[in-house]
Amino acid sequence: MMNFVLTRVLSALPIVPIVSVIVFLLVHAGGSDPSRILAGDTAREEAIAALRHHLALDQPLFRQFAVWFERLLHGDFGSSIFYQRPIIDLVLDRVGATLALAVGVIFLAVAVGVPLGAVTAMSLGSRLDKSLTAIASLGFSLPIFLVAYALVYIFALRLGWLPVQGYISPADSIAGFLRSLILPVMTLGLFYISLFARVTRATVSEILRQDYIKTAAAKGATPGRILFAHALRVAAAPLLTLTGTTFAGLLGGLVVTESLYNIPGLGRLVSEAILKRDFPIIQGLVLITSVFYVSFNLVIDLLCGFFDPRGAR
Amino acid sequence: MRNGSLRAFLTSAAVGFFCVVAAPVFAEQNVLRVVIESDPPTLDPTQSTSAVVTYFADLVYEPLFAYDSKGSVQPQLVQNYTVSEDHLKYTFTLRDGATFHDGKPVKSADVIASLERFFSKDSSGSELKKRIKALQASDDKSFTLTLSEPYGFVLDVLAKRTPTIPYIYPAWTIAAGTGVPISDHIGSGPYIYDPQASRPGSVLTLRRNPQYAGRAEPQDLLAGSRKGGSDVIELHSMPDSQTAANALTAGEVDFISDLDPDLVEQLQTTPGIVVGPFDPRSGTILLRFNSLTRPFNDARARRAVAMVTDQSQYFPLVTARPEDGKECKSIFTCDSPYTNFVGSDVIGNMNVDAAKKLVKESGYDGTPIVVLQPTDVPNLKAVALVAAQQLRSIGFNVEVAASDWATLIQRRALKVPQSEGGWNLFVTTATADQLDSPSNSLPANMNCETSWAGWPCDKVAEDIKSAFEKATSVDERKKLAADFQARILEVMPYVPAGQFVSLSAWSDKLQNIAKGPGAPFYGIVKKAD
Repeated sequence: MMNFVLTRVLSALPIVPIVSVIVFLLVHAGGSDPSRILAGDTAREEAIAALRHHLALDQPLFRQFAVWFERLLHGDFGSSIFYQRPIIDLVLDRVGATLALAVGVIFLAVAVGVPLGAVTAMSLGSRLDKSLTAIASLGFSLPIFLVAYALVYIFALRLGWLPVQGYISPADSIAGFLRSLILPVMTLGLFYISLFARVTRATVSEILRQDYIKTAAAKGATPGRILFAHALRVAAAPLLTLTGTTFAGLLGGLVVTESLYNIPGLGRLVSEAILKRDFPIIQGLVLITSVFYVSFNLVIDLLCGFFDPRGAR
Repeated sequence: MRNGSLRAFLTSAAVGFFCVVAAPVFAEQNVLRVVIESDPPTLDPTQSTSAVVTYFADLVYEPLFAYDSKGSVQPQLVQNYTVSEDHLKYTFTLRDGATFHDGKPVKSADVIASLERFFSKDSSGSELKKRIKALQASDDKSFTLTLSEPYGFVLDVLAKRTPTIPYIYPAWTIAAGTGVPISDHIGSGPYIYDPQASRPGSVLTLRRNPQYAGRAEPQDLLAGSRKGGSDVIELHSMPDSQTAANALTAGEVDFISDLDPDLVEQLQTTPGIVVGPFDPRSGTILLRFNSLTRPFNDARARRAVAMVTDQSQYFPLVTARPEDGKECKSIFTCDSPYTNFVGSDVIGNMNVDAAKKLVKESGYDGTPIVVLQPTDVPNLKAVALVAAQQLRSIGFNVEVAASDWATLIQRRALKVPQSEGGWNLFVTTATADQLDSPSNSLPANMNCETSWAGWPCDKVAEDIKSAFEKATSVDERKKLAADFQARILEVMPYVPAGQFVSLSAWSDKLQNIAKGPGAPFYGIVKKAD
């Protein structure tokens, strides 16, 4: 087991520096010039050149990378070209909203999707299975913006129960925070509930076909015991993997939901940075997201090894 | 303690408690929430020509002069001024009590540093600078500007309302040089930027400046008092226009500055919402040529495009209601002082055969030409497609290069031929006051390399402009403006493709909304529920 943990940790470590080099090169390879965008529509070439010099964008690429990487080693992600604020401050400002949204979605997906998938797996081919599978397919297929607009229309505009948009920090108001998250979580939750239900159904039904399950049933194990003690325990590994990758993905990829609900999260920050060619934000955020991704995958790998020691051997 | 005293004490305590508890409620009533078109690319108004930056800057900074609703220049940060009889020496005195947000008084040295920075950034500013012999402080509150030759637009330039606007900054905030963006947003305006309560990219929060001592005259568009109407103004940028409309309907925001035409009908029928123009003159659609490269380096090819520019196909693309668009074949915004129609019959005469003949005469050889299409600006995306189709109708082989606006701006800066990544035509819009006169018309600037992207070059037009700027009588200026238009429509650096009115939407609880070019938010009062 110790070897397994060490191997996993050591194999994860080089990923982040490799990602940082690739991201830096990709961001700069397009030949984009943030100074031209920042200087505005009618700026003269001298003004753009002065700005480029001020931002050190006229330095050779290798030198720019060296400066960025050296700062990175000191924990300095640099400052935004457009907002003139340290990247880390911008991330800290926004990570709360994204984290709250991601946790809410994962919670909903696991709490509703896994039982739904397990129930359908236990009653394969039944009317219940067909109905729930159809609903899950619908939730999986509906475009997010359509779900969002429908929920806003019903719960915010018609009934007036919830806000249309915005995010309230829990530090300002716990009730406001919860109210501001309900619709976005429901919007994304519908998709992820369906995803988790489908994966759980497929995994559990596959496990239920195994010989050891048939043996347990023949020995008189109740359906509940078969599900909880055998099937879900084995299904935990793929479901944990799905949870981890979904969570890490949500942290970096909530662009549409954050836009539709005007939530100032990381997704919107990175999409705006890409449109403005705010290099330091793109580089910093991709790096931070990749650290998250690698860390989550590592933790999930280790947890899977714990749940299913065969894989760790 | 006697009963009366006890009652008085308890009453006072209850009132005090009520005030403390209710304070946030009152504060909430005084927050004006405005949705602006997009996230400001920067908060430094000298660093961008984006109009959304001006929304922020008008709250924080003040210029020396400002336009009123009649289009007249009025003193703003200047208390009074005199002009010598020979029109060469201007003496200015600053307004009493004008202080920056850091508590320091606005001094002549701040004004001179700010103007020098403006001169180096702005084309109108640089035109004025060419004629300045000296700009000197007489003392902390007064300064003189001495010209080398009479120039009739000194005050117009100092009151300029289209970016770049000559706001006055504390000298220390701009000391790092013209290329260095300002990071301390300290002005003398009616609102103080609160970076702690702001979230760049999402919301900018500005609080009323309690020390603000504005002008005594009532607000008249940008002139007069700038005393704030609300305690707090929040400028929100929302990426989804439907979300903004829903938020206005639900009362979560109070004002949408630039309404998506698709949402006009929805909001017009929503109780409690007013839909109307914030600037009733709004803007003009432009088709801009690259005058440096083939085929549009030849005026005949450019005139051919103008001939098939059917304006009635363009303005419906950027408006929701028929009454919000109109044909305007003057190079000056229709209904402005210099509007005339000299030479404008060439635009949209739809003589396709004559246009094809001109294209042939220009030597166009069928090489694909590149029309830039911004995909993230919905209205302009459609305008580019219509332009491409009209170009095809007279024999041009057109490639539409679709990209986001940021990429478009970068490609547009390239002066190389289209085969090497360059371009031939792009579409955009200009606000009405950017097309008011020969002096401030950005697309009609024919000063070669220093003119706007497209880089047209014409000494005749520039000479007429120069004469216009020296002219002292209104009649003389009108005549020269007509001459200027005739020349511009002959060389055709761009084609005006129709005028339109942009609509805004706001809660009917708002009062005192100034309307006009560059209309600001500071005077808007929000009625309590």
